Parts: sequence; C-alpha cells; structure tokens
Amino acid sequence: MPFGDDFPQVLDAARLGSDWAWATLYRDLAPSVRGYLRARGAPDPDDLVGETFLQMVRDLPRFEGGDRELRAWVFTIVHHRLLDARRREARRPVQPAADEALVRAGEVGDVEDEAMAGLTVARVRQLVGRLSSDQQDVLLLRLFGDLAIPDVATIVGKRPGAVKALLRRGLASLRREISREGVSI
Amino acid sequence: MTGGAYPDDMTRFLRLSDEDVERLFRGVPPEDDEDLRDLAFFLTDAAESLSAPPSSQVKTGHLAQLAEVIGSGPAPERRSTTTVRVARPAERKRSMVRRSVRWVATVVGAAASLVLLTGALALAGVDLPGTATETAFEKVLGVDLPHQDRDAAAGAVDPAKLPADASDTAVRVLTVIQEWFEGAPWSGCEFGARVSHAARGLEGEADTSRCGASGSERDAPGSQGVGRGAAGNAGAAGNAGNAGNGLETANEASGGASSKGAGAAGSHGDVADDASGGASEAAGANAGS
Repeated sequence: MPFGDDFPQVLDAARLGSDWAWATLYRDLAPSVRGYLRARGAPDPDDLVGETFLQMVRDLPRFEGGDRELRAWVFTIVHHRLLDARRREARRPVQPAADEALVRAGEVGDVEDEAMAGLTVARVRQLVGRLSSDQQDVLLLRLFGDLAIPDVATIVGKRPGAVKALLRRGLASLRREISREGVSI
Repeated sequence: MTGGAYPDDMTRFLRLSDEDVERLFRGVPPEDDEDLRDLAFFLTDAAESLSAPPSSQVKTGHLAQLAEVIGSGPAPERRSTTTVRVARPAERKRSMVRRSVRWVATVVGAAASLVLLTGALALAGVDLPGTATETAFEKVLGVDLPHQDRDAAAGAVDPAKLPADASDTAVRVLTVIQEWFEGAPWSGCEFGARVSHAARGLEGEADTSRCGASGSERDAPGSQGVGRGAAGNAGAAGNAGNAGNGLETANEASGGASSKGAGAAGSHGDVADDASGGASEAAGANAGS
C-alpha cells in the first residue's frame, strides 16, 4: 500500500490538479515504473516515465478504484507505452546509450556506487533478457508493479492460469541462469 | 517451452503454490526449498537496484511538465474529454486533402460566379465600368488585374450611353451610380439604399433612415467597388434582381469561404475528438484493469 490511508485524499487532490498530490503520486510510483522500464530494456526509461504521468493526468478523471487498482492502471499505461516505444524503435532504429553509461553520465555521486549500480542494472537485464518476452512481462510486472495475478493477466491480455504458468516458467529459467553463472548482485 | 530451465526444475516450479511464489517475490524462499534462496535474493535485489527514482533533474522536469498540462486547461476533468491525440499520418493527409479541395472549390466557385455575372451583363449589352470588374476580381479572388484605369470608370457610368432598349430601371440605377461618382455626399449605406430603391423601380426618395451617422462605407474603397460594380451591372441589365444577385454572389463566395473555413476547423476538431475517443477507449480499458 504505497499511499495508505491518505490515498483517497491524494487521489481527489490529484483530480483537482493539485501539485502536491501529483508530486506524491510521482514520488510513490515513478521509481517502480522506472524500474520496470529499465528491466525491460526500454529505449529511454525516463522519457517513458514522463509520458506515463502525462497520460495519467489526462485520464485520471475516468479512473475509479483504490490504490491497488491505481497501480494496475498505471502499469497498464506503462506497458502500453513500452510497446509503443518498441514499435517506434522498430520503425526508426536508434542506438540508445547503454544504461550503465547513462548512470556514469548522470548525477555526480559516489563513483564506486554508481559503477556498481551500472553493473547491477546490466546484469539484471542480461539475465532477464534471456527469458521469453511473455515471461519477462509477467515476471517484471509482478515484481515491479507488485501486482496480483489477475491484474497482470489483464495487462498482458492472457488468462490468469496462463500467467501463473508463465511466471513459474520464468522463475525456473531465471533460477537456472543464476545457478549456472553464480550471479550475485 | 522451458525457457532454458531443465525439465525437472520446471516441474518443481510448476508445483510451487501461489503462496510460495509470493514468498519468492518478497525475498523469502519457500519452506523446504532453501536452495531457492539465491533466486529470492536476486528478485528483491533486482527490484531494489532498478527502482531508483529518476534523478532530481528529471523529476523536476517531469513535475514541471505535469504542472504545465494541468494548468493549461480549465480543469483536468474537462481536459480529459478533449484529449488531443496527434492524428495519424493517414488522417492528417486526408484532412489536408479535404481542406485543399474546399479551398479550390471556393476559389473556382467565386471565379465562375464572376465570369457568369460579367458574361451575362455583356450579353445584355452592358458596358461595364472598368473598376467594376477590377474591384470584383480584387475583392473576391485577390487578383490584381493590370492596366485597369480607375479614372475612366466615372466617365463610363453614363446613363446616356445605355442602349435605346435599356429599361427605365437600368437608367435609374446608373443615374444613381453616376451621381455617386460625381461626388454626391452620401455615405456608403445611403448609396446602397438609393441603388436598391432605383433597382426595385420604386418611386420617390430612397429610405435612408436606417443609415446611421457612422455609415461610412463610402470610406471603405473595397466595399464601394463591389457595390458599384454589382449595382451598375444590375441596372444596366435592366434586371433589378441582378443587383441583389451580384452582391449575394460575392457574399456567398466570401461567406462560403468562411463557412468552409469553419468546416475545416470543425473537421480538424473532429479528428481530435475521434482521436480523443480512441484515447478514451484505451484509457477505459486501462481503468477496467
């Protein structure tokens, strides 16, 4: 529960265009949204985070539900934005900078920490990237969105039973890769 | 599809309960499955490592964008109903073609009206004043006809030059126009009222009571030109209705252009609305999730 008891107030204020409410939503949702996009190897995660929130601003008046439904809704948007970005990328291929390079070029901080962060991101992507696309979808939506199986099933357009099977197969493959390479992140 | 896992591993994972899978995502290996500890740690560490918030610079930029979008409409609720999606290339192309066709149709219609009007008057034996044709072309088509002698126009408007079989109405209308050219102290409105009065064949003085003190159409050269041309043509033709027709044609042309423009704007809005509909449907599907 990212918002707790304050969720209704935050949602109402966001509907009225309150800056603080949107800052709260951004603070609570942007990291996991960005994490999902990075793990999925999105071309420009930060850009897609911005697009996602802009669509939230436009469509929030039609949203109904609690914080769980909000997360499911937000990750639906993110998932669709990612698919759109992939299509755009396919039409106009670009060579994005590697994530670890972006980490190095980002904020100035502890060089060792940033280097480790870059390596971690690269490692996770390397391992997760070996799963099938469907497995990546369900595993990463579950992991970063903290979504229940029915929510994931709705987002990816599959039956809950199929999502459960994909999740287990993905976990099995991941475990195999980890044990084979002795990954420790 | 095993996705790289060994068959025995796959069987093992497929037998995991929902609760065990949830434990894995929380970083806790299932009971009696301590060898899945690495996987559980990997999942939690991956989530933590990759879920770093955007940099403060990016965050500031995003929040500024959101504030801009929120502030650009009267209220988010209303803005959502007019969500504008960028039209797809095919839609944009169709819209541009429609606008081009409307513009061409408007111009062709206006030109045809001019030609028909002047041609009809020529058949009726009317010698058009130079400025009539010139001004009409200038006003309706925006075409500057060369070698047009404005000064000769006044001399050309002479009722005495009308054919012998010209109607009395034509003579009266042209007389009014001649007086106007010779400097009668009428406002544009008064001039129009007199032309109308003469063209309808009415007796007595024209009713200029509806022309206010500020009726300074005479000061608007363009409107004078159109009025003169149309009224003069009508009078010479001996058909009072032509005066109205001439003006109406010009008005229709310009009004048509306006309405076409509005139509184009409307159709543009339609595209946006359609797009909005599409976006709304998508959002509806999202909300449904």
